[in-house]
Amino acid sequence: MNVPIAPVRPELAGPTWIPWLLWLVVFFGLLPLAVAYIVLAERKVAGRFQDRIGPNRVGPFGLLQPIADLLKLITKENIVPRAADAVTHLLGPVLLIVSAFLVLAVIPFGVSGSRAEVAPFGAVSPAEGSRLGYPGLAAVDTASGLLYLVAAASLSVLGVFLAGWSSRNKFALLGSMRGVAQLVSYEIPQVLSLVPAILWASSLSLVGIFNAQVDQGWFLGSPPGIVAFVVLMIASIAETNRAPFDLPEAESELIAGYHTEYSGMRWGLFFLAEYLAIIGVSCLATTLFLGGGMLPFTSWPLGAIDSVVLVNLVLVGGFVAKVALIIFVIFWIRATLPRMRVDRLMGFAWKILIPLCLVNIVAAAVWLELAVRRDRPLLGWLVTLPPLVLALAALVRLSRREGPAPVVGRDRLVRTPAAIPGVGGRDPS
Amino acid sequence: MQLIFLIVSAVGLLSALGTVLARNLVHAALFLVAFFFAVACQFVLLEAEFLAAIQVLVYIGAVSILLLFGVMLTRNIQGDETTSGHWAWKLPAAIVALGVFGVLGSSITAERGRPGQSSWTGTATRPGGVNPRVGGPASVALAASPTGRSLASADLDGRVRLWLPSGRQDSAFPTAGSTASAVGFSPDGDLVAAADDLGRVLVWDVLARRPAFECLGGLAGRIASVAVGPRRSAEDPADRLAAAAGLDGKVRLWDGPGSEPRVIPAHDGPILAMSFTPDGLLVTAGADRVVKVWDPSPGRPDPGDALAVTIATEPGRPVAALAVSPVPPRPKPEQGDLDLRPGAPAAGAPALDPDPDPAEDNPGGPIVAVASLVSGEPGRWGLRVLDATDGAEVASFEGLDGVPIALALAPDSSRVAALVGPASLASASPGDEAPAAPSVLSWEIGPDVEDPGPVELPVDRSAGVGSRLAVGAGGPLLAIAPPGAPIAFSVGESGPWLSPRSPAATASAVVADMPRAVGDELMTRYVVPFEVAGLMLTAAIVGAIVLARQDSRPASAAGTAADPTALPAVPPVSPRGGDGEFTTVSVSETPGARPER
Amino acid sequence: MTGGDIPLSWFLLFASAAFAIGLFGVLARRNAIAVLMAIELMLNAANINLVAFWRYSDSPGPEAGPIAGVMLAIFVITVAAAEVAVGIALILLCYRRWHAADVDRYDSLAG
Repeated sequence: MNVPIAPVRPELAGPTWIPWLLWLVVFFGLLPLAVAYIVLAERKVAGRFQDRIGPNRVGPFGLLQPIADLLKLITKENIVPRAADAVTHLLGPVLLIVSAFLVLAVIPFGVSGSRAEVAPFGAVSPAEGSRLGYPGLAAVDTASGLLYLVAAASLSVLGVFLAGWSSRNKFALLGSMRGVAQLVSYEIPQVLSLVPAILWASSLSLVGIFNAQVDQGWFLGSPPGIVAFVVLMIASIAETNRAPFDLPEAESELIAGYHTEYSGMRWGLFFLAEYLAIIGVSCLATTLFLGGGMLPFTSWPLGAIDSVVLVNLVLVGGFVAKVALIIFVIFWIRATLPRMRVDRLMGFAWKILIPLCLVNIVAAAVWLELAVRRDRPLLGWLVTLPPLVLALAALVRLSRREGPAPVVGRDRLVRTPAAIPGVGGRDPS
Repeated sequence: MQLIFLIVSAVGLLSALGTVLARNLVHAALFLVAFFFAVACQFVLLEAEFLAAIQVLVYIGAVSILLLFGVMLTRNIQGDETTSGHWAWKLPAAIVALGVFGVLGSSITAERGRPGQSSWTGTATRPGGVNPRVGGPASVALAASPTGRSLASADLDGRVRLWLPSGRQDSAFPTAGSTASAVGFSPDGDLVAAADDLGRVLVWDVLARRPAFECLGGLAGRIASVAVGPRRSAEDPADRLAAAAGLDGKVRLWDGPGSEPRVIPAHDGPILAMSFTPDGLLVTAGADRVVKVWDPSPGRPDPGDALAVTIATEPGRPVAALAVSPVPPRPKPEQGDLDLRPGAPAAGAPALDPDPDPAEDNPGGPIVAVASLVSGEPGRWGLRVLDATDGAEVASFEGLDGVPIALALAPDSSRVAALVGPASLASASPGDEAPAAPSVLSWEIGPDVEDPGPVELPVDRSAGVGSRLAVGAGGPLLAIAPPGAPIAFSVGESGPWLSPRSPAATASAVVADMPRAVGDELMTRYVVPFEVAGLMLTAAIVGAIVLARQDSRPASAAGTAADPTALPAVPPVSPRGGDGEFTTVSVSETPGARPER
Repeated sequence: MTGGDIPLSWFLLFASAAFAIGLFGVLARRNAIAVLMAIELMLNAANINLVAFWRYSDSPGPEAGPIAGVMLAIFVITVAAAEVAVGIALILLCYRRWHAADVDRYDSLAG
């Protein structure tokens, strides 16, 4: 075995520009292509949910529909409103798409070596208990990868704001202000739900978290893990402005929200960024809680097969399958749930998700002590599950006590003689 | 790198100017975002990636958004500043700002550095990267401390670094404009010395982390090993002999700081290894295959007076590498000193028995390890460990698979390690690239050892000719410095090799490990009660659920007692008799929920 | 080693220039939010100094820990974020009271 000295992570054979070229192809070729067909899949799935067929005219089964849409987008005229702030008008979608691509850069899709031979970041020495890990197949693997990912994702807030502000359109501005408020609020539960994974892996590197799951099994398999995963998914759907959290672009109220004034390929960039963000959050959830590409209950190809390619066939296949499943669930949610009311949206984040996440972090620490360190998962389930269920029930109940949100004109409603006590809520002062 | 810095700085300063000059507040906020981003880039240049991520997350993701909200909420949707400043305000402000910048800038450029520290403006003052992905500075010499606490390396960036056995940098001493070519510890491990290419011997105090003394006037360059003697008087810790041995076969001896060196011709060829014993005797080994032990005190300057001369290997056997340790292998090793210089095709290590009492129970003297060709069999190399005083063989390991490139003895003589190149190197010339991976073999030596090994550790191909090796005292610590690559450590019995860790990795590891550390603290104090408390908590929760159920059931069954928590929310408006009905409804639903839901 | 050739003083000069620009902004701007932005400039400049001195220091003391400078900078960032939140809240309150975001309109205490 050839243990490298200077570079801690062994590279696949070949000069360094080859992996970079491959990553470029993946990021700027494969992913946009995937986005195009995810859009088609969404239309098909939504069609089925609504008892329709979906696009089926262009090519067999409508398979060429995305290509046609792309051509249409590219050839359409870019219209910039005269009053708009030209530079920032362009900057908005660009920032969004950059943030979406940056998020994907640290995701480990597989392994780049079939042996556990990489010392984890920050390991003091093997004697102090840190275990060697598998090198991850990620474009960038930094010690603070998860932090980087959150930071890159937070750039999209700026893009949304700029797009809405620079359009000089009140619908766009309203949409972007809604969007910013929503994104900033849901970023908190999103980050807090990452904490259990960090805690259990004691690493901020996504590759480190993947390796911890090779060791400990999927992080999903525990009460705090389930709660964190569900919260992460909810917050991620809100972060990507998908139904039922698509208020910033609610077409019944705001035309198209912050991208009302965009057309042509600039609008296409918004579209691409949205779906890339969906892929990004699905990859994140898969890496953090579903064990990356690992098969359930086993780390089988790792350590058993010596060929990197064969191992990656299994791992990347599993990864893609999990991501596809999550994306399908997101489509399903969109087809099922109606749009939320704006005050309930914020209340849901601040009154339920964030306190629940805080309780969950404590539960995750308990799980770490009981199940991970002392290997008593049953006791872990016993101890962590009841508080979490109780906390959820209490939070839901507490958040409902406030009654319905204030509605413009409610005062008059309450004052009418026909008003029934209780309907008006307590406030009407 | 400088270009990147200049570009980033220009972008940063221009956007800072934009921030304070833009009339439109949203544009000002955008410029501020660009400035934050430039600062994040500066943090990356400073190898603080963790902080860069924090910077982007907090400043760009939160602070700038908050500022934009502030702009939006102050009736200023398009962000134009309604009142413009005038020159009467701006001019004094500009003068004050320029004045502050002038004072700061001139004092920064005028800073010359405190004594012992490098100037702020020097271009090579930055400690070389210890970030493994960037690559640290290459080391040209290694030495292990006799105390087993640290390793010293002389690095190409003009620093002598001390490393903890875990691979963490303990301290770094600048050599002030030169590059050290040899390092060595004193026999007590208190001082570390380095010989630089200006002919100086610089000595630092290991514990106090400051310069101890320096000796001038030696041979400029071509110094292969350096050593500091033991302390000679109880009062003055700096009263020691210092010696530098060069490739010219002469030893330069300084009798304390500030004195002129005495030049003593000691060997016919280059001197490759040198060491002081704890008794103050000097051991030298040269490429002439001779190991000499002699008394270097000022009264006895004649090298011909060597107390012992040992032929390290027979003539005709090419020597690949040599190493010495000043103490014999004993069950309970004493302090010793190791100096290691295996760069040239041969390294010599002399040793002398310091106390001339050969009849003792443990009669061994300083030992020397020689890796040489086994006679009569071309391409087969062997390793012998000899007693330097009488030439007796302490241990012998034959049948090495390749050419020994470097050899190291632990300062306490407990282990010997050899960096062995691939087999085909045996016939090839030393300059050829190694066709297969070399490996490090280490053996335990000493009278008590039953299974000496070897333990084999594969190393990267870059660890070829010109590599340095060191073995730590008191534990299985190995360090290797391949040419042109940073130092790597192996702590366990069987590897792996660890590179020094980057500050960024340390930072994120420390932060990520904080909850775990807190948990450790809690667990070590409250181990047993924890599980009990968890079980009791579970029981209490289950009990609470049961009790809560029992409470709510009679309430709804009675149909009259309103849930007290639900009541205050209901305004007692209606004078009609429908009150009870409503209350009943609201209670039979989830209490607290409103009927209209 | 490519990173070794930037002198420490360059970082310090950049930081002091940014600090001076921030100072100018604090003195010259009249909009309270613009003043807040300029304060952020100055805090960031100070952060660069902290990290640069940490990175260039040769031997951190045994009690300093491996990441003393970074820790200090993280504290500054935390304080700065809290300061902006409080500052924006204050400005909004003042805006409601005086219907202006300019600092020279907040002159109730002026004699």
